Amino acid sequence: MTESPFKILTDKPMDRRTAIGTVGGMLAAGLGVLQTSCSPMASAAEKEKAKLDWEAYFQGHFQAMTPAEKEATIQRLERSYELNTGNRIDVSAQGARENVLYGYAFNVSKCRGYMDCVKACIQENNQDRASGMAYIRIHELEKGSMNFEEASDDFFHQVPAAGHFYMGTQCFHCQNPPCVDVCPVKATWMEPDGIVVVDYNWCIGCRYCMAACPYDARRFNWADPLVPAEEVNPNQHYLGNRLRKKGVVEKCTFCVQRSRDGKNPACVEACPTGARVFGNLLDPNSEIRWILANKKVFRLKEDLGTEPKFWYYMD
Amino acid sequence: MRTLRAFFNDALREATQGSTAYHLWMAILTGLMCCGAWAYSIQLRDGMVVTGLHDHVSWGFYISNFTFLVGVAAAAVILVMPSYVLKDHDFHSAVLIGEAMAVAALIMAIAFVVVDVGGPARLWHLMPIVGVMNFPRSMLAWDILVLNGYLALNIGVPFYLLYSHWQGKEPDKRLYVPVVLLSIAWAVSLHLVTAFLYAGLPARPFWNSSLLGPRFLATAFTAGPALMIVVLTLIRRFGDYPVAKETIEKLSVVVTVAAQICAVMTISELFVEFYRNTHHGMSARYLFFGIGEKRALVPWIWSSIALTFTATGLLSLHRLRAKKPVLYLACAMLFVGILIEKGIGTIIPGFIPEPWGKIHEYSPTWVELVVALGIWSMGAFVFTVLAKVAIPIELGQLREREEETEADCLEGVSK
Amino acid sequence: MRALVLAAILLLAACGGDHKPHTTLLATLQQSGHVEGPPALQVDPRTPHLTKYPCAKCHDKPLPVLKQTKPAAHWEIKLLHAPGVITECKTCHSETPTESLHLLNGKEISFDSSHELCAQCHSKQAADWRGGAHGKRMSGWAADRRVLNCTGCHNSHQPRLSPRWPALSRMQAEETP
Repeated sequence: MTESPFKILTDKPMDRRTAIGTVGGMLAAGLGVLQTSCSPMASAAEKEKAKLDWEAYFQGHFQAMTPAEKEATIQRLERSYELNTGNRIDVSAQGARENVLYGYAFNVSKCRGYMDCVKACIQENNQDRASGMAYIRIHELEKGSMNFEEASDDFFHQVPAAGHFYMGTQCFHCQNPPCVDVCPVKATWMEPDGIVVVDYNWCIGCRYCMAACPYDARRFNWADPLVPAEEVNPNQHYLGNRLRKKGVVEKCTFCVQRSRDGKNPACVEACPTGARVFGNLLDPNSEIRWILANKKVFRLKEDLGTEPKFWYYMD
Repeated sequence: MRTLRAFFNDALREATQGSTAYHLWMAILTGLMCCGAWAYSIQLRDGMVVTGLHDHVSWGFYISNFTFLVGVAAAAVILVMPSYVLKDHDFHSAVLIGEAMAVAALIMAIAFVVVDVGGPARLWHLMPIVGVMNFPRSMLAWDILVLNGYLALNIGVPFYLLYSHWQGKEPDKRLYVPVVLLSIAWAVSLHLVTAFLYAGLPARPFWNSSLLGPRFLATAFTAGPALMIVVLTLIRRFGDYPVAKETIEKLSVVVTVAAQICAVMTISELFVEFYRNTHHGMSARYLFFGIGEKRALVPWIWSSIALTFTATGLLSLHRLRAKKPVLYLACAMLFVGILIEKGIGTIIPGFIPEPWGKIHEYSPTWVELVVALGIWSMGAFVFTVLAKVAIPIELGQLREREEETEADCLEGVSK
Repeated sequence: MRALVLAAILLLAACGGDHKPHTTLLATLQQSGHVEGPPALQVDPRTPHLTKYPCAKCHDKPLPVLKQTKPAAHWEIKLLHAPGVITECKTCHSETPTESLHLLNGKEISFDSSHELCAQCHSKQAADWRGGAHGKRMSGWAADRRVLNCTGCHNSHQPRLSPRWPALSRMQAEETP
């Protein structure tokens, strides 16, 4: 995402792995800015890039930003991407809607293990292709037991397989999220509409949240994430699918860039069986509320008191 | 102010002078630190993908070392407490060495956390005022406060004592005894808070046990004094620092009792994990017996069990403990056994199986090993410098000179 | 010492005060109102998707006459829907083409409302579909609820879905961290 300002110091082409995000990078960025602003050789674009990187490094906590600062941050992201790739993206910082609390229901009887949701999620959310990152896991369980230990999540055969059923897990956006409690810098929090988000610029990458999540919902960028330029989804949200750097944690955001726009998350839209239901828990006329009131529902590891906003039900 | 500068000049001169063996030792440590820095630069460039960690086992060798070292640091209190509070002067000579060890262990512990984070450049987000700290909700925030506070205490008290002794004055008890008392409480809370960091996670049943905190303390009070016995013996052998026989004897009693408590805790933990074979015991089953083909940790934990239990048996027999070679062997066995138990048998199995029951194994890569070696070398380096300066002051060999001029100081440095 | 204890108590109080109020999620939902009935819905019309529609395109003569001139019509349709015993073509289709289907009681019904026909037997599925527990919503969560009807997903002649390959494989991803 960020091109290192250090690049101009050497003639050798350097990949963006040298980007800021390291102790050395701190100095390099400072040097880079200095070098760039002093050097008559550096192009205006290089200078601007270095300046944007510098500002991004010292950017404050997202929740503490004024609307104007948020706007400036967004513009910096868009401009930085344009300078680096020549392509445009549209980053939003749209806030939560009034009187909305998102919830999700999953029909165990209907899921057939097609994995269309997984694919759509990866594409929508600009997830790293190199490591095969995926927020959603589809577990193939043997009928007669709900023991996940015996289930398979790396199946590749015609589905549904005889004698099996399927359950998807992802971030359950717990109303009492353990991951939020443990973050030492408040880089992850629950939005007023119930979505648990991460500020990728504020996350220090300690991965305490990954240890605290009982649902394996969080993913870490062990290397610089790779998304081919032609596959980048340009409709982005600051707290959602904008491009990440190495060394930060990310997760499902109920597709905040879509849901706050009134759309369904990509997994819900992609599911051909209608096994995935999404809606406003505070609206008694929503599908999700009808399901909670009329179907026998359950949640996973409810005994941990996490209050997931993600329910399972059967026909 | 001028006196302070002279003190540091003296200290620097003392630290940079020594025998060939001393210089060789420091050169080796510096070389290893450079290797560690180089390996870390690779990790910074390519990301943590160069470690053996992955989304399923997201903490590994670094955090294991951190946990172990916090224990070693906390154990310094065992030396401080009798000396200052119980007025037991047998321990007095060991106290400053113990505190130097605590400082070195804390610096290593902090370094292991720094190399474990994905964005070390963003660590300023933790700082007061400019950053945001999730206090009191996050146990990691607590741990950061407790670690740094403990580091400050362990630097502050010895500095005051040494500075006074160097000036030939007797340190003021009213000044430092309350701080020492505070640091004793602090040491216990330091290791408890570190245990709570893990024990507070219901997501990881292996850690989510109320025994974890006490067990951390018990192992710390075993491994710390065990290391002290070895280090004090080495110092007595290679330096002319007098360490009383009684000190070693009292320490060995501490080690023995702590090791016995550890054994009881291990047994009760194993009973709970294995009696009914619940899903919560899966991590323990993986650790001790492996699950299917996945059994990477099995040899490690059994060697740790063998080492600690044998050593505990040896120490429990007074006749054997009285024999010096047996004592040193048992201490070394305990230290290594607990290092393995904390380093491999505590943090890693917490992540295996992952929350949905899959077994994804982990083993550290060479980058992790070399970075860890570099950090351990840094700790040894810091400890050596601190001990090198502290010993002559305590022996009265290094004292403030009456008519010291600026030129003398500079000359001393350049020598 | 007393000061230390006091400090500890204050600290504990601070921790306690930081806790969120212990209201359950369900209680929060109940406060927002009770579920009265199934949410309102609009059914996506089926007729634009029908390839052999309107019927009158071909059915311009009585059936016996057509059978002589175009004997092969609808040859591809094989009825595998509670086969033989319960259903046959005439269970749902009229012999005289009226651009519609009919219920068991003979009442004519548009292809766009075929769900009412299905609901005659599949009443439980129909109730779930009305409520939102079954079927596919085409509009986003915030917009008016627009859903597919039964035949939007199910082939009414062979409603059982056949197996297929997953959209992607997670097998390689397993190996590389």
